[in-house]
Amino acid sequence: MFKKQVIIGGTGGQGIMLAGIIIGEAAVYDGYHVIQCQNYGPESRGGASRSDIIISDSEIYYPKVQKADIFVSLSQEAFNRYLKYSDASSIIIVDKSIDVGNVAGCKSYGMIEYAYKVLNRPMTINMIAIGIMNSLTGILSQEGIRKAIEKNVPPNTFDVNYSAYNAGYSLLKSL
Amino acid sequence: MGEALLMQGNEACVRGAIRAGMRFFAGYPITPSTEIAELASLMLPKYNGKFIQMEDEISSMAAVIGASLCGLKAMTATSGPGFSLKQENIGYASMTEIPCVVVDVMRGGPSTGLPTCVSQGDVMQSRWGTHGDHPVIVIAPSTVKDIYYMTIKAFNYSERYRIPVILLLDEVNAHMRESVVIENDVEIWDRKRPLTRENHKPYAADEDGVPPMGEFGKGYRFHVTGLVHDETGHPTNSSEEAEKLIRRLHYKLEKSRDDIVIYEKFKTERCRTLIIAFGSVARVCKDVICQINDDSIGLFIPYTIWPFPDKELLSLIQKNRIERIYVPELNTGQMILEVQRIVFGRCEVLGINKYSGELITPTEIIKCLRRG
Repeated sequence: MFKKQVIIGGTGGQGIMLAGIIIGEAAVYDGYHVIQCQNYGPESRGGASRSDIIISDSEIYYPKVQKADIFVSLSQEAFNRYLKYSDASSIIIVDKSIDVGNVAGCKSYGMIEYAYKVLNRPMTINMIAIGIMNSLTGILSQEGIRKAIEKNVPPNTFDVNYSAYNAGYSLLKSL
Repeated sequence: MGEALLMQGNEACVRGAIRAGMRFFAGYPITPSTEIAELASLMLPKYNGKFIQMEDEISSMAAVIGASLCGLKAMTATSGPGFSLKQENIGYASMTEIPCVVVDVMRGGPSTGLPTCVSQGDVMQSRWGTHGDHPVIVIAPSTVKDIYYMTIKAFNYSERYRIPVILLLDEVNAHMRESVVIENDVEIWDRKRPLTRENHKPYAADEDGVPPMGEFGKGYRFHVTGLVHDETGHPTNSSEEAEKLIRRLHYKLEKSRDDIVIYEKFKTERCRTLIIAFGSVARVCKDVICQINDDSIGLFIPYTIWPFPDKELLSLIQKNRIERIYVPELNTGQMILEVQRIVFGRCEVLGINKYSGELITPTEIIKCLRRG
């Protein structure tokens, strides 16, 4: 049985929900059963928010992630708050700015810096994160991701979003 | 077979409503129901329908009633605080027998409570929120796919029985996105129209207890009032007419009760312990049943929580000689009261309650089952 549970955590405004929808939709294109859930506070900017995605080859009943196979965190607050959903077998991907303390094996990338300095588009950080996640885990097809990005971002921003995804997929080698 | 889509619960509600023939939506946005208004505002114009954002929930409900009186299938959507405001006009729709669908996406309460968190605190409000001795239909879907099809059912019931139908969602299944395949082959029911415009009595019921309904603007002239009225629609103080009207309002649902109730039995073939759950909690319980893999525990899901599938539950209790029933719900115990009423001491009924704003987990339920 194939089942992957993913948590994308960050702060309101980083596009956490959109990242969850794109991953979820790509998995639907790849033929999986998918559930995507959100968790956020009443504020629209700031505060820790989280998108749960469950991808499976059979029907999914419980809709929230219980143990993340993949945990991506784009903010310190989200890291501290949602780390409890991961364990030693989880793949943990964090932004370089996050202090991971004594948590071993975290994969740290300068996603925020890359979005600001290289792409000059802070809003593409979610796409970079999806790219890194898929590069390290290979759970989604490139075609599915492309189609999902195309469907969910404004047409005039597709190129910049898709190239941010690809930058992430190549693990930010140009930095 | 249709293509699989990743669809949000609130989106499924709007798509189902439009498929059922909704051509009018009036509302006032409130988390976690806002996407319903948002999407209705985008989609309705494409179907020649109308969307209005009203100044508040009271007027939204009034606008929906007005649109329905003019012949359109109409809906509004809200959450707890707004649902309270709509109650007076829901009672008016009930008394005047105006078809409409009211979506309540439950969030933590009372008052503004926890806007972005899940709850099942409106079970009793959905039944008894408006005053008076009124009948009601409340449907509580569990999955995104359920939401699509049960929104269609909600419209069908409201049209056929001329009654406000409450669609009870919760923050989890309304905000959740799920892969669904939608089949377009669905049955759509429309309200009965009077055979003639001349001398028609707007509240003279057919054998099924439901009067045919003309619409304003099409040559039907009639009076509509929340006061007790006779077949002509005019107010009356007659005690005979009052009793006749209230009896008929209840009769029209009782007569068709078997066609109305919707429920599911999940792995109940040999069970002696039964879990009864609705809404998002029902799917958590499916996970529990699959995890424990013990055929002595089964699950009963009422989709119409009002009217509750009482005959069906009783027959299962008797056939299986059920010894114990658990009722997990995201409140301090509301549906359990209805279950206890039906069970009437035939077996033990225990609640499993969570009201922190989070969805109950399979582990929490399993722990309660093991504790016994």
